[in-house]
Amino acid sequence: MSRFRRVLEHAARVVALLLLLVLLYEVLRPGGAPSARSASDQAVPGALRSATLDGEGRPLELRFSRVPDPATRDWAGALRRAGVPLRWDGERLAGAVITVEPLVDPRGGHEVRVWREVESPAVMRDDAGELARVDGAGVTVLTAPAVHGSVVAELPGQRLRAHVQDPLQPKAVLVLARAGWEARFLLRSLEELGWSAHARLVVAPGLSVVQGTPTTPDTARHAAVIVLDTTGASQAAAIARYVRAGGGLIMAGEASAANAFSALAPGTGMRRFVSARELLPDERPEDGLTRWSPMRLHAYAATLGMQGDAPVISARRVGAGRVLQAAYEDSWRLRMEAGDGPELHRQWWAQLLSAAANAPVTHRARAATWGEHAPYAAMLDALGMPGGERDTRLQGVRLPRLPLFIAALALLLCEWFSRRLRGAA
Amino acid sequence: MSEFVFATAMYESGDWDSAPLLPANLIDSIARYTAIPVAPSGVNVPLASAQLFRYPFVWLTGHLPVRFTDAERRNLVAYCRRGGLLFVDDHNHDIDGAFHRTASEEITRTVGPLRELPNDHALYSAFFHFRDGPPTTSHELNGWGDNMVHEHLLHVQAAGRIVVLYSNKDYSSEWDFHPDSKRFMSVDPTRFGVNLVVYALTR
Repeated sequence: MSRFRRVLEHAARVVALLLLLVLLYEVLRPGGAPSARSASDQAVPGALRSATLDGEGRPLELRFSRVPDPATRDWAGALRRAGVPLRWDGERLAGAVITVEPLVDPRGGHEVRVWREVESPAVMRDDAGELARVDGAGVTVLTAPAVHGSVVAELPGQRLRAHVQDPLQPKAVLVLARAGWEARFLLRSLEELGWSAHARLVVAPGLSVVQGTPTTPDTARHAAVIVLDTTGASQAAAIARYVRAGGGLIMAGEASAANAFSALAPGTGMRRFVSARELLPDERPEDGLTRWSPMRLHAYAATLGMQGDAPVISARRVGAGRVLQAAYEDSWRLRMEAGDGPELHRQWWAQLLSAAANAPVTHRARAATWGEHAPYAAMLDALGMPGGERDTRLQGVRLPRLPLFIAALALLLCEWFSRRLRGAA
Repeated sequence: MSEFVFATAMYESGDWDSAPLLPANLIDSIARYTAIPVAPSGVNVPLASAQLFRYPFVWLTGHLPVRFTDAERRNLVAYCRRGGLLFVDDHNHDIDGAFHRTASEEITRTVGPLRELPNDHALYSAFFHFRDGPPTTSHELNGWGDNMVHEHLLHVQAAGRIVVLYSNKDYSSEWDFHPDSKRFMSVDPTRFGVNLVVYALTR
């Protein structure tokens, strides 16, 4: 028994010594979780510089009240990709995007769209000055007759910038119709809008009045084809090919109900509504027009304009092209009878052509600047989501020091106590 | 589809209804020769009323002096500016007569000066072909009025478009006949009326 006890005492002494050696190693060994480097806004570049130069790999904790400039953003992103743990937050920052597209209109002009994730004011300006001040959330659309240079939107915490694209080179518009007031005034408005209009107006069987060179619809020559009645039905197959190849088709009035175009139409079950009013009302003159409205819309059609609860503009994509159904068969009455009739009539047709016409944008070759028109998105792409990543680098097994020390002390005490009880020195 | 409605202008100062059978004859010709949807009967529309703007082609004729009221003048200016076309025909075919002198004065004062329309203008080939310009009427040749054959129509242009056409040739007499008489005519005299309407609808 005493022999066994001596063995236990030796073992306890050895184990205690080993524990103490381990504790000594734990205390003396280098490394462990380095402390994070924190910075906000103007101090961020300095922190990034230090993080780059000292190479310690200390985590970065960044706070932003504004979306950082692209250089700072990209720098932080590079450090993150190099393995530096990065945590950031920007409580007041939210998504926003700006785009500028040329209008499909020979008179020129641009459409500026700003989307904001949260309600916030925005001041939009171009190189010539302020364009508009807007508020709210969601999409804001601004139509500007001319935009100079680039468009900038100032939002709380960020600045968005979009560059103006090359102007479009609109092609001709082809009109197929019977001779009548609708075709006559349509051509007049097209010319006033600056469109080159080619037309074939049927006067009698086998006899047409021709304006320009109305050839077979062709995406290389025609931005859009407008059919006002069933006289264009003889070219239905050619029109369908044209649309599928990317052309724009506007079916107005009686043409909306033509069987020849039913495969392309956004809506079916067309019904004709004749207004009881003899004269157009002053306030909403379109209420006095005769319209054709669909009873059913194609599955993928969209309504772009309503009059009350009746669609007046329906649209649908067919192949690479677009087809619009416009309700009114006598829009010419807007021009003759409504208050600012000529302008109203031009706006109606300009709107339809803008939505339907084939006018591909030619992009300038330039360096990618998407970070300018969606800076918050670019920030997320570079830095990751707010909050960031935990430092997951392996630091070795961290042993609990206090329990180890207590265990070693307890073993030594037990060994000493055992020897004292035994009567050993 | 909107149909063509033949409109006759009513003006306060004169006998605007001096050719009551003319509308029916022209309507018949348009329906007979063309595929243009046309209303079976014409309308009479006051020159000073808002209803004038429903009819972008309006016929005006008479024998008596023409003096537009202020309202008629204002309406006519707006009508021409928006795209309307007014056809005026001297029912007297007399350039020394009261209608011609006063009507041409009113037109010049209201919308602009009258000028001769070239005889190779697109109007004369808009449907039927009239190589020599406006067709001569039997009433020009019968010794009535100024006993002259008027070689040209007159017109007022605005923004590159004809807004007023003026005739001394008395088409109002030529075309104001009972519809049953047409079958006895070797050449339908209303064919030029078809040109007028087709031109108005396509230009």
